[in-house]
Amino acid sequence: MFAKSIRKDHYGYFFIAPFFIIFLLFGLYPILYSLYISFTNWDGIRTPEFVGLGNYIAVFHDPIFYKTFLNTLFIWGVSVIPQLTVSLVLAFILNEKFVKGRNIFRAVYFFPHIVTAASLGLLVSLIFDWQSGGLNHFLVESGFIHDPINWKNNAWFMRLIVSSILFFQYFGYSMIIYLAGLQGIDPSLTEAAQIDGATKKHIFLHITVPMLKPIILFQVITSIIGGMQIFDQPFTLTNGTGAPDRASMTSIMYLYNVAFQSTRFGYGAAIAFCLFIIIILFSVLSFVLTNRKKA
Amino acid sequence: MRRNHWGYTFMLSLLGLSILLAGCTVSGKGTGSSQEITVWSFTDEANYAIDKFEKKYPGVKVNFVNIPGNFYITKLKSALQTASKAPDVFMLENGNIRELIDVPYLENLSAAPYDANKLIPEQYPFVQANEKDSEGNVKALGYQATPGGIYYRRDLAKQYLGTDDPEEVSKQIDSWDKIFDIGERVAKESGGKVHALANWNAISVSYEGIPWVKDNKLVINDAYLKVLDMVREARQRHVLAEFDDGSAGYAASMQKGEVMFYPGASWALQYTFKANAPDTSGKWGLAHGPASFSSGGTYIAMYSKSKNKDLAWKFIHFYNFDHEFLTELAHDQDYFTSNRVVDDQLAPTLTSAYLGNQKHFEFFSEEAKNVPSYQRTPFDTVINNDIYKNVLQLYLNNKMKTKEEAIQRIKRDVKLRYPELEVD
Repeated sequence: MFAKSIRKDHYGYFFIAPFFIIFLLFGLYPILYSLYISFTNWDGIRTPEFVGLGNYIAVFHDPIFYKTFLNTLFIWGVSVIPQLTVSLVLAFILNEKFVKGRNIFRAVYFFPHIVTAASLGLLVSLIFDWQSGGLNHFLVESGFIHDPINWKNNAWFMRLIVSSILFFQYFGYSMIIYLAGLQGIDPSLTEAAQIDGATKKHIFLHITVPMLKPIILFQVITSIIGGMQIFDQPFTLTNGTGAPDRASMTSIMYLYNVAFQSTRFGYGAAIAFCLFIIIILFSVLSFVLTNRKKA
Repeated sequence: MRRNHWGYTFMLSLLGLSILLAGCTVSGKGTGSSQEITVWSFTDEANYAIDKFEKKYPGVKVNFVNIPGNFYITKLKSALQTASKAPDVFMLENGNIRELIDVPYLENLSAAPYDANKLIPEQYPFVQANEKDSEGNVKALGYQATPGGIYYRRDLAKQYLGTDDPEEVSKQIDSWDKIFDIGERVAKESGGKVHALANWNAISVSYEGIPWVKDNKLVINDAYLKVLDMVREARQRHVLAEFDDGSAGYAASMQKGEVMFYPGASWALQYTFKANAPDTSGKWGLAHGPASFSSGGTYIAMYSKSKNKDLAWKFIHFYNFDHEFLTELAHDQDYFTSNRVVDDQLAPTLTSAYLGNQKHFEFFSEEAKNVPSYQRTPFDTVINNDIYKNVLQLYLNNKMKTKEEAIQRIKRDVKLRYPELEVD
């Protein structure tokens, strides 16, 4: 009735071939070409000049690279910690059967994720504009302040604003991922715990969180990869300048400025590969930290 | 049967791949015909010239590709280098011209049959200075001249200066000290509602173009350092309305009459004032300010590997030296071209209703003759826009206390950006 062995025809390869051909042409080739470019000085029009590791050495001595990298870490850290914790708690609450209208809440919390990042950056930029911003108008009109405040002149404030935009945009997304994870937890575990007299807090800490560990790991790694690539929000918020004094400029904004505004493709490619290595290191580190066995 | 299966599968895969790849092909018409050329630009203003050119030369077709935004230069460089769908003729912005002037993909227009050196004396000297490469060959032609002036609101001038006559206003604002005095007084009298200048850039724009590099060495001109002090003083004395260039408040201030003076180039009439404040026609005037300057400008170049060089040159010549066309362009579009002969002819008669019937071509012709000619370098745009203006804002916002700090920061950033330059 059934064949004794699996038929090993080659038809399958044809079906998967388009993906691989396109990946080779538009994925792998550009990556390898960028790697080659990173060893050259190239302005996009003259012949690339081979400089060996020159660009990489320059990146290691570039204070702006370090500044933008630390900016990225700060912006990412300040947004991702509340994002992952608040969304976990929200997911836990909205997974409870007793919450009325939980589907509406799920949808509402997810809405910010639908808005494009660039629009959010632009919107916030308009709100915090020095002379014509909505917030300053409100504060002056209500008599809280006499002169408008130049919000965008404050480095830490600008970094926090970018973090807040990211938090606002992504907490709903994280919540949906957690909800999917929560629905995969066997209800008999929580029921058994309830019978044994566990409180909601105990269930959350000792059943939900450990069972969600793979989901948490997924969220942490994807947020690291995403976090290192923050671009749209600070770019539109500061009109591409990262003002004041590159305080809100992220690594990818710097890469964009170097490669596409100054057309220094070699140096830009070197920055890109440095970031690539850093992202891998962070991902491996987070994987190791979340998977280490308790002593 | 088995063979057929292979065939179908192969065909299907091929079909799938071709559909996917079809989405990635660049659309655009080729330039195979000798009576067809392709022109690339970063604005749509060439449409007018192309329309007139095609009318004058029936049978000639110009394919126009407008690529707005930052990617224009990246795409242009890539097209020129790979010769893939490269344009025959392309526009270059003032900010990019010095970076690209020595590139071999720009046709030498000094050579025969073009002999551009015989033609360019019709243009203003400051435009000519940007057209030549490091060996003195003409590689691009600037059809636009962009001398600057101080655009002012006539109603505010009448109220606060007692006159709206351009000559009288010019006398009252021929130095920054005078402008600052007016600004301080006006801010006080209006209760902070009206300011003399929109922002710090209204001061710094008057000094744009001064070279930053000489003989491969960074040279910080005194004018740039003086501007640092001037912007600080302007802020302290409430001369600045603090509307960032291009912001919603900046645009609205023109319509509302919140700022008295806007230093701007010739093109600002069309693209800034008429665009931002269309309902204020007749309320504006043009006065001479503390310094003659030029801001922006568009240059037109030919691809050295173009297969349609004759036609490309015909178009470039038409756009720069066809007096009949340039006169039409000036009349229809309020466009101030680089051609002195045409401008001088129009100067005595051409007026702008938007500027209260002022003879604006007379004004710009006079200014254009006073704009200094600089030997600009490929480094100037980046040093000025990315490095100096950042430092200027830090100094203005007291993030940098002393001028020495500002100088050190400029030097550090130049060293980082251009390791090949000598920096003391």
